[in-house]
This record gives sequence, C-alpha cells and structure tokens, in this order.
Amino acid sequence: MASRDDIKFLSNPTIGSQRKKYCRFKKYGIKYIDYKDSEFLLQFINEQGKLLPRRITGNSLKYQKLVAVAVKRSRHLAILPYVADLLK
Amino acid sequence: MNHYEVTFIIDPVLSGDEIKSTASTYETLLKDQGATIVHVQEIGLSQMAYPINKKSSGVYYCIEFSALNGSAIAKTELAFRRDERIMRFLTIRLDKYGVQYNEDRRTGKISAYKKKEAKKKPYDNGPAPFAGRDAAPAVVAAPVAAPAPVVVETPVATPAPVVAETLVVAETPVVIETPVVEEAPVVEEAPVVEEAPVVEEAPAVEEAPLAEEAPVVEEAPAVEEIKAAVAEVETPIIVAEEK
Repeated sequence: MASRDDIKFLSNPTIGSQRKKYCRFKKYGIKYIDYKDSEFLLQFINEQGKLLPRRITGNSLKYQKLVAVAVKRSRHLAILPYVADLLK
Repeated sequence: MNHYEVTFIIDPVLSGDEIKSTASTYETLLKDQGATIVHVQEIGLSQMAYPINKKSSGVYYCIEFSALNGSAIAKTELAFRRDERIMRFLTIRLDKYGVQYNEDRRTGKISAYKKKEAKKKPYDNGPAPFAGRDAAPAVVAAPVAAPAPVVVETPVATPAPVVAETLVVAETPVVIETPVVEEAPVVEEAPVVEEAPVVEEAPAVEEAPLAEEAPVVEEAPAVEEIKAAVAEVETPIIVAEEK
C-alpha cells in the first residue's frame, strides 16, 4: 500500500474548495447600515456603481436588502453615483 | 418617541453665514413643531457624485430629532421644497439600531470604515508581460523626423559623385527611372522637397524612396533651374535622359 508521500497528483487537490462565504453583518453583529458612509458602501457596488449580487458579497437576504436601501438613499443624496466609470 | 433623521444639501455658492442661518432656520422650525433636536451635524462642503442644478458640490447637514408623531415632517419637507437654497433633502425614520448606531458614532465607539489592504501574494511573478508595449509606438512615430536625413543619404550613394554634390535627393531615382525628374533641386531646396514626401508617406519612405519621391519632386523646382544645374554638372548620362 502506497503511503501518502508516494501519491502524487497532477494538480493540487485543494483546488476547487472556495473560501467559506459568510454574511459579515451577522458575523460581526452589525445591525444598521449608514447611508452616509460612502467608503463602507463602496464594498457592495462595482466599478460602474451598480449593486453587487448577494452571491458575490455573501450577505444574507435581510442585510442585502438593507444594503440596497442604503445605497439607493446615498445615490439620492449624491453621495454615490447612479452611473459611473472606473469608480474604484 | 420616534426618531427621525433629515439630511439636506445647501447651495454652496452662499456665504458661510447664509448657510449657517439656513440650517438654523430649519432647526428652529423643527423645534417649533414640538420635536426635540438630538444632534445637528454639519458635514460641510463636499463633492457630489453627480451635478445637481449644474452644481458639483454642496454643503451637507444632518439633523437628528425625536418627535411623538410624524406631523412635524410634512411641514418641514414643504419648507425644504419651497426654499431655493436647498438642493436635496431626505427624511428617514430611524429604528432602534439606527439610534444606537448614531449614538455610538457620536461617542466614538464606531470609527470610520478603513479599507483593508490587499493581501500580499506569497510569490512574485516579476513584471507583467508586455509591460513595455507602450514604448513601441514612439519608434513608429519617429519616422517623420528620421527619414529626412535617411532619405538624403541613401540616394547620395549614386554612381555619379559629381552630380551628388550639386543635386540632392532625387538623383538616384532620376537616373534609374528616366522620368523628367528634376534632379536639380538646389541644395537649399532639397530639404523643402524632401519634407513633402516624408510627411506624406512616412511609413513607406524607407521601403521605396524612389517611386514616391519622383512625382513629388517634379512639382517643386522650376524647369529652368534644373536645366541650369544639369548644364553646370555636364554629366552625359543625366543630360541625355532629360532631353
């Protein structure tokens, strides 16, 4: 029986396992998302100013909706743009 | 008690005093309605993400207040709409978490969000490929200046050294192709003549100076000058071709 050292793989066996995605609001106990905080909200929008989907950000549904509301409020107050280019 | 927060943007062209007085008028308006002001925050002049009323910056104010019911809001919003100095406003109702958040923010428990530094890779692949690609076009662009001297030199290597002295560029092409090409361009004229073909056909100049220069050169110098120059030189081959 070959020992573990003898077994060689052509490609790294750890490939394919992704970092576990989690909702940062649940994990760190953040309950309120401030619409005036543009730097924080930049995490959730792409370079064109569009909201990133939940499967990318890892947010739970409840907090994704809160994020969306906060981003839309800040867009109304011209803290974030509606349409942009090379935002980040 | 309901907690509300109203954020509004004041026209930045007003003087500092006017801006402050505008903000205080709304503060007093809310107080008169029976609301208790919790906090007035002046965020100040800041760039807006898009122009509003053709202005690209504005003075931001945020007033947090508490009231028994929402009747004060309707009046305040009406005043905002009527006031020409207010560009935008937004009134929201804060839930308990929002109230707590604002309190913590004021006391300093919550700091401003800091961007995390990008993770450093454990390996280094060296400089990116094609890093120097932008430098390439400079070489291609150069020919406008370069060919002038180049063009002068190559045709000078003709079998007629005497001719080469008085005449300039067009010599070689003339001798070989036998068109009525004026080899004559006097030395002073030569650069003028040369520049024309160079500017027009910069990329192809190096390849076929002969064909391109001949027609252009024809236009420039006068026929008499040519004949005079040729006569001076008295080179049998060239004279015969001209005639």
